[in-house]
This record gives sequence, structure tokens and C-alpha cells, in this order.
Amino acid sequence: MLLLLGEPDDALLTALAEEASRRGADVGRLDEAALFSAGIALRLGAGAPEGHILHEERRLALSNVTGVVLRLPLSWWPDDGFSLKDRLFIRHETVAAWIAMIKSGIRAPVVNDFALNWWLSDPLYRPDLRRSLAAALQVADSAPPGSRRTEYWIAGEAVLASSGDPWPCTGPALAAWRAATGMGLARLDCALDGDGRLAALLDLDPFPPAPADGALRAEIAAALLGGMDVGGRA
Amino acid sequence: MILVVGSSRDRVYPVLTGRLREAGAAFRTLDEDDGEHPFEILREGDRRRILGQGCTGEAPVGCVFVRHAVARTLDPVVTARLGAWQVALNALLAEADCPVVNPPGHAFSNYAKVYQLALLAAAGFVVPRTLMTNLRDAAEAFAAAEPGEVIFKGASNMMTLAQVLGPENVQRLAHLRHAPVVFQERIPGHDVRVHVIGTSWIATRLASGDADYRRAAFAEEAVEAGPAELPAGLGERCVAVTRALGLRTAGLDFRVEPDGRHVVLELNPFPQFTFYERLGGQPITAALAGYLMGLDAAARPESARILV
Repeated sequence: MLLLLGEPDDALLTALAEEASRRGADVGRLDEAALFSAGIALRLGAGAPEGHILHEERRLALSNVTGVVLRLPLSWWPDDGFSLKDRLFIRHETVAAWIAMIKSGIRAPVVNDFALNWWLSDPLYRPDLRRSLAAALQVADSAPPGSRRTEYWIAGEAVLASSGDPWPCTGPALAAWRAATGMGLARLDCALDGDGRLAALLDLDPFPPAPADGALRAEIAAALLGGMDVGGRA
Repeated sequence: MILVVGSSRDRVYPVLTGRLREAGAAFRTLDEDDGEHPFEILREGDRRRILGQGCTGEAPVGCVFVRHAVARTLDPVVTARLGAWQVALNALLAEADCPVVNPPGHAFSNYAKVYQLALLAAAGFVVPRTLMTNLRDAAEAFAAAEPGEVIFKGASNMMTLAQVLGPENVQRLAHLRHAPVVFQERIPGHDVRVHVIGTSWIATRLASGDADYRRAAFAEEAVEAGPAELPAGLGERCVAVTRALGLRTAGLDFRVEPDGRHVVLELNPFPQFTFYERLGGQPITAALAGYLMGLDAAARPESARILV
């Protein structure tokens, strides 16, 4: 089962669900409240970690998860029936448990497989990602004079342009950066020079809002699922 | 120059600065709990000058020791100030070109205990049979299948003391649905804490009548503590996994079975060195001070990016 974790009105998750269904894959979609209140079990011992999720009396073994797309706003809080101190504790423990479920229990691809800094809302995570990708691509982080701005989407192994400019970089640097950071989905704000070469990486959003353009959403969904064996026909 | 970032309300910070003073080290401090005396960080190209709390922005820093203050209140004024200071310091440390002990950005793994345990298992350490769950029936089945006792503790880095799951607290399993809990086989034997400091380590044997020796120590009950011998190669593996996690120091907790098998429980990236020094009498903070002085001596002041 492909697990799509995020809010019900997330248009990118909807595009992914449609694409996955078109490919014949089994899709499960959970919002943050449902996810963090689901039953979970994760076992560690001599063998590989194993466990399951229990949601609305349906049990899903982690070994049957074929992929995860993680777009959680991390805005969940436990019920008001607890004191603030207890709510902090419950939230902390629940998020910690889900980090282990996703990072240790699921062996299928996770998009994005965020570092713990993201889970902990570390404000340095996003600028660090941008800095590391700029270094990997050997480009500046501010726009040189005369450059023009354009936007790209990392979607699995593809880099999609939201305008007409094709992604100008070749070579293994981006793939190595993706592998090192766990990033499979991100929006890049770039500056190109007059010859169409990448001059600067101005911003990197690892948790971008869904693009307004439905065709681009479908393209991103197809590119993402194209690189994942989500268990469907195609 | 060594920069020590911490809290005067913490035990490690004053003891470490005392050791550095005794050893004649050149150091400056930033006390995150001294809200009366703010500091600021000035950006000058690649360089960062820290001003305030005795820092004049002139002395090049060769290494940094950081052990962030913990918010001891929910007062939003205090937590906002502390958060802002720590974000600013973490940004500074992320750009530092000198050794940082430990880089906060690399110290997150113990936030999720079971995730960290899986990392330790992947690194070749023996780990206890473990279940993390919020399902009562799963917890009961785990406990029933265990031949010996089962302990339980929190799933995150929030301090929770391990307790034996027994008839007196089995009713509390009804609360599991509110938050996941970690259940583990209770490893018979005693505890060993290994403090990694650079490429060396200090091992401390701990034994008490409690499922968690810290509870016995907090209650001022007897805890036997002293130097421990590690099996061949285990100290080196502790150093290696510390390095692999991007850290320079760590505190690894083991349970040691009667046959000598060492089972790892967790790795703390910001150890409470002084707690173990007080219990076991080993010179842990002196070793830490010596390590920091060695890092500082090896630094090149002319290329320092942080000035205090």
C-alpha cells in the first residue's frame, strides 16, 4: 500500500492518489490527526524491525507499505482534555514514535525522508538544505546581475520546470545530494544566467505547497511514482 | 580560546568551567540562563563576533563546547528568549569551521529512542528485544512472550525513568492509547555507562537495586559505581558510532549480563558527565577539559571565524 500522509485538501496528494490508482496501486490516505491517533506497534530485536499500523480496525503491516509520501504540517496537538504539560509530553512522545515508525520500520521509499531536524521544526533545516545543494551544484546563493529567476521541482529522479527553461545541470551531484538528504520532492527557486546555465540557488522549499497548475501537479505525481515500485500494474 | 555554551543552572557547565580554570585554559562562556545579560552575534563577512557576557568579539575561538540550557518553565517570555538565543547559536555553530562538541544539528537521534536503537543495532551493537506501541493488547502480548521481566519507558528524549512492568502498574496500560511507550526485555545484570571523549573513553560500572540506577541515585539510595572493563573492541566501536553520528562525545548506556554480554540501551549526545563523575569518582570532566584544550591548541587562530 502506498501511504499518503497529509491533509485532505492537499492537491498534490490528491494528484498522487489519482496517479497511484491509475497504476492500480492500493492507496491509503491519512491526515495528521488520524495518523497520530492510529494504533502503532514497532518491534526491534535480533532481526529487522517489524510492526503495524491499526486504523479504523484495519491492520497494515509495515512490510506491506510500498511507499510513503509525507506531507504533514506538524500542527497536530492532543485533545484539550489534558494539561498543557501533558499535551506537550503526549505530542513529543507521539512524534518521536512516528519518527521511529517511518525511519526504522518502513523499508519502502519515503518521500521526503526528512532528517530529524525537520520533525523538530528546526528553523535551520531549510537553509541548511539549500546551502548543501548549492555547494553540491557549485552555485552561488544570491542572484548575479542580469540573471533571471525560474522555478523547478525535484520529483523523484526528475527535475521539472514550471516554465520553459529546462533544468540546466547534468552530472551526478543532484542524485548524490538527494541520496544524502532523503529529499525526493522539493521546489527550487533558481537564477539562470544569460546562457541558461544555473547561476544561483536562491531558495529550496522541502515542504512546498502544491503547485496551482494542475498539469504540473500531475507531472510531479507521475515522476514521483515512476521512481517507486508502489505495487500497481504499471 | 575555548567557548563554553551552557547553563549556570546545569551541573556540567560550572564543573567544566572550573576544570578549565584549574588547568589554566583560555576560555569564555555564554550562559543561556543568564537572561539579565544578553549577548549578540555580529556578522562580518565570514566572521562572527560575539559581544556580551564578557565576550568582546576579539579572541579567536579554537573549539566550542555546547550543552544547551533546558527550559525549566512554560513561561512564554523565558522560552521565547531561550529559543531565540539557541537558534542564533545553532546557526553560528552550523557555520563554524572549528570543532564543536557536539554540533546540535547532529545530536537529534536520541529524540526518538527506538529510531536510535535501530541505528545502534545497524552499527553492530546488541540491542534488547523492544516493542514501541500505544496498543494495550500488543503490550500485553509482548510481556506475556518475554521469559523474564519487562521494563517500560518513554519513546522520546524526555526524561523518563525505566520501571518494571508488574501487577502494580499493569492497570496503567489503559492509558497507552494516549501516547506510545517503549517496552523492553529487562536485561539481568548491571549497568555500564561509557563516555566517549574524542577517541578515548571512560567506562563506569553501576549497580543498584532499582530498575533504573538514576532513580536510586536521585533517592540517595546505594548505587555501586566504579571503573568498568569493556570487552575487546567495544570501546573502539563506541568511538566509531559516536563519530558516525557526527558527534565527538557521547554517553552510551549498556546493560551487562552475567555472562559479560553488553546490550546497548541508548546513546546520549549531551551526557550528564558530572552525575557519573560524582557516583564513580572517575576524572571525566578533567578528561573533557583536556580534550577541549587539545582541540583548541590544534586550531589556527588566524583563520578563526568565531571571535569572542
